[in-house]
Amino acid sequence: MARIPLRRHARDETGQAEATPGGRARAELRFDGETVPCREGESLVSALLCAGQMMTSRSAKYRRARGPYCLRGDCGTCLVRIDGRPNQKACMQRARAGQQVASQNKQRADALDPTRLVDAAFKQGMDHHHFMVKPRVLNQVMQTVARELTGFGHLPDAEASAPVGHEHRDLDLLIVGAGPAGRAAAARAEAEGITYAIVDRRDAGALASPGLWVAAQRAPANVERVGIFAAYRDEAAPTQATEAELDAPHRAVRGVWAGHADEGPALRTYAAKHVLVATGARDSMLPLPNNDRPGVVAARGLLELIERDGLVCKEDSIVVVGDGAYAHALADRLRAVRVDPDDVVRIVGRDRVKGIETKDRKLSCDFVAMAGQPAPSHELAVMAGAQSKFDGAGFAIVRDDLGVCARAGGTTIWAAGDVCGYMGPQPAFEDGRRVAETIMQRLREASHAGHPAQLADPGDTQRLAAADTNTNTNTNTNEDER
Amino acid sequence: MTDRSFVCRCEDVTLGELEHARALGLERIEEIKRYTGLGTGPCQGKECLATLARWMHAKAKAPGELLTPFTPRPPLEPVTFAALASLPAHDEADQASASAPEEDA
Amino acid sequence: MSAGPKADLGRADAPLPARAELVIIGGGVMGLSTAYQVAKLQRAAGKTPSVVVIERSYLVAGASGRNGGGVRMQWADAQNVELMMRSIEICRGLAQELDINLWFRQGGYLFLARDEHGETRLRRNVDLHQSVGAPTRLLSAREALDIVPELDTSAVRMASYNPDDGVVFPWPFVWGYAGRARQLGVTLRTHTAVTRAERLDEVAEGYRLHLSTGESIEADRVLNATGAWSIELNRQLGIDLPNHPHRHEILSSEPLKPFFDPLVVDLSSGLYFSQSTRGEIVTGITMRDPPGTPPADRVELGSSLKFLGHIARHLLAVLPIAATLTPLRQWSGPYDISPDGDPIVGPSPGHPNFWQACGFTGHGFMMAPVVGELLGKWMASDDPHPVFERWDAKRFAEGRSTAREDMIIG
Repeated sequence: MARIPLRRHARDETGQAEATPGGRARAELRFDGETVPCREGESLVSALLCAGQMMTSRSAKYRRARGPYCLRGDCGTCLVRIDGRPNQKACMQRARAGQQVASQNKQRADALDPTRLVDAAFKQGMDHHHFMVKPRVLNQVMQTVARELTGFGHLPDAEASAPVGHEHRDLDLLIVGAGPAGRAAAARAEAEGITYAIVDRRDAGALASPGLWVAAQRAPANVERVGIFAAYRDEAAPTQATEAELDAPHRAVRGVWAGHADEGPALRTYAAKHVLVATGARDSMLPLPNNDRPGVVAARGLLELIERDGLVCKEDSIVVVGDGAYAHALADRLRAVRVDPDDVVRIVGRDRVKGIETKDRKLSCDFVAMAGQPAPSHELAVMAGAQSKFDGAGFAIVRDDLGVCARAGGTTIWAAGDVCGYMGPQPAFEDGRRVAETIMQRLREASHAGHPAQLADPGDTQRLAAADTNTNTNTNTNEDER
Repeated sequence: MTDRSFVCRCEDVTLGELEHARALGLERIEEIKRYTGLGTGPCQGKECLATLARWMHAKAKAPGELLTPFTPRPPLEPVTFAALASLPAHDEADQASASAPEEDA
Repeated sequence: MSAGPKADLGRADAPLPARAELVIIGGGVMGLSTAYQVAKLQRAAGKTPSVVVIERSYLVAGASGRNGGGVRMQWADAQNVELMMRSIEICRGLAQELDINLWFRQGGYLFLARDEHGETRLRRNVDLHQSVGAPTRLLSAREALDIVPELDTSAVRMASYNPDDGVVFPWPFVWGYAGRARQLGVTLRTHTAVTRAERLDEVAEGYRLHLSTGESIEADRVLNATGAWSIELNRQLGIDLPNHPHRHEILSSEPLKPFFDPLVVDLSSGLYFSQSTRGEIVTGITMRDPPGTPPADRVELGSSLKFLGHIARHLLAVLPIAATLTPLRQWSGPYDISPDGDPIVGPSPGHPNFWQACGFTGHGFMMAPVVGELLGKWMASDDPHPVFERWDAKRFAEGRSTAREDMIIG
């Protein structure tokens, strides 16, 4: 049995189920036919890692072992088959008693998998455009084999079913993302009494992990677990055929924002006067030799997972690479060695991390935790029409002094927090509050304008003017800090 | 096992493959994406696009105007066909036949 | 990196001659296939090609990079069937000819008919195909199920199947034609748009094309191979052709192990779906414009939620196992619609040296191998294939256009 790099909290070992985080009951699930102990409601990836199951698939071309990396829903290598459904992100699923989980795109018995030789055979890399083109017969055989090796999951079992149903909501404000910036905005919206929704693709357990945020604000109770997957043009409006470039970003006329939920109606759509994109930032890959080994994880993801599910690392089982924001936090928390990426010679291990070689030493470990500077999760804002700018780490959303990043006819789109460039949780919280303040002001102004009988009294006007001045003088867009 | 440095792990795109694309004269993210396959896998660039941009900035000395993200497209999060089928059908045109008029035999 | 032939995908700074015999505007599959053929024929005749291709963006940015990669001979018109039989034959050896993997897989096309109208069309097609030697056959619903067991054929009356039809990965076609054209001496300039076309006087003859870079180039002859983008350039010269762009949406699913071979088409809805080499289900469907919508004159891209709802409903009716599957990415591309369904190829009305290759109505990609061959031959050797009479750009003004083809899907 492989070395176990992670355990649940020591209290667990005495069998005190009530002492586990959230009082989670012990249970069992199966992974590739083997029994895996778990706690109901913890992240599935915690259960797998605590059982030493680091590998979830083989890669598309070089057939190398792959496992969970980002641990929070962004990368594509923790995909497993769960209860007859393929390509599920293990990090976004909760462990449940009796789950049948299986790896994908690999043979059960690794030692008997001949395709593992591909990696050794193509030392100089494989150019798939020019590989085995001639003669034709060989080309056809190659294509047939390639077809069998790519793809990931198998067809779902016939019994697997998906939730259905649609719900549409019209809102004053939609807040996408319940991290620090989103929470601050939600608190403001709640106090103002407007019609709003705050959504996040993560579950309550993940939202409760403070990560770097020592003075963690609780996630609002009304966060709905919805993965917003797009910002669309409203189809009822005639399409505008303005095309400045071949593929102009999709400028919404009257935005419809669509999301997918696991509970309640599956398909959610929203139309809102204001949308605040607070989707944060993510840990992107550092290109180092063998950075694809199972056991290479994102530092922030590992930190959050450990906190969320009460995990404990073996002594010396983690080496941190990089000096991004989460590098020091993880290294400090776990008393782990931290290494500069430029000093890394290679990560060592075949089907999982065994260690890491630097210019002056060799360290053995189970995890290599990458910690580059977080890159903004720009996709949703850009899809909605915002501009982005490379900020050295990734693509940061460009916004004006007040926080507006795009306009789509009747909808104003705002951005706050790390999506505008990594700023850290406390500054992101304050940024969210600042931008929300302006949104509230706009809603008040619009509401007064729409109801002439309720025009602001002189006291109101003075207060509004003061708030306006406040906003302008306290402008802090962080743009100067890059 | 061969030492490889990956930029896109979904599609097995290594630094070597990026260098190869650059040698072919591909300078823009959209064309590098297409030729190497970077960003076209299950994560649709969430892991690798920023890494590519940093590499282009540092190694290829790419100027700012070449660094634009490739077009983000729906869906950014998983949504099943069953859920999508729950959307209201717009009008009877949804059910109308799509064929062009038949010629006289 | 393992040694492969030196591919060349054009450059944004490729040096341009002051004048060329042939300038092709549009570096899509049609323009590049034609450039390749012209250069190939000229080289064989001992000539040095004087051919320049100008593409306004990166290669595969246009329709050539956005289509579903279907290649079929199952058409309603004999001419189209025969042309596509030739195109498919070319595709079988094209990877070796262009020295690049094309991922051409002949898994067949399976058409499903749900009503009497559809059944009549399929019967008609099969009779026609068999008369010209195409191996299309009629199938019962039960037989269709044998080919793709995951189908729900409860509402299917009849099907047609041709095992030689197939799917490709479109991008390497363009790269392959580009690379070979470059090897033959074609100049390929990318990231450069033609902003203005100017007809030169009778002394100078030909055209001057003004470019977005501030440069200009003169040409004895021009081929407008911009497809859905052709209207604006044509109008500048007073060429008024009735083709117009129409957005078609498409999506690909999460990647799966291969489980079905043919490209399946539902005739009633225009739904099509196939599985790519990477295992993604690539699928699109016909979406009607609201009645009274005028034809567009500009290309519009982008994606809609309405499409996702519409295609999900129709896909699940035929492939119920897809209920728990997810789309991975949706995008769109332009069909370049010709009002009679036939392409518009050859000299333009009033402009004998400004040629067109447009109006392919959503099947330009699959036709490019054979059209490039025939058009290349016409342009290089003045040897036009009879089909070009039918595809004549002057037919509309002269009242000779007839709608002949109804097997237009997606």
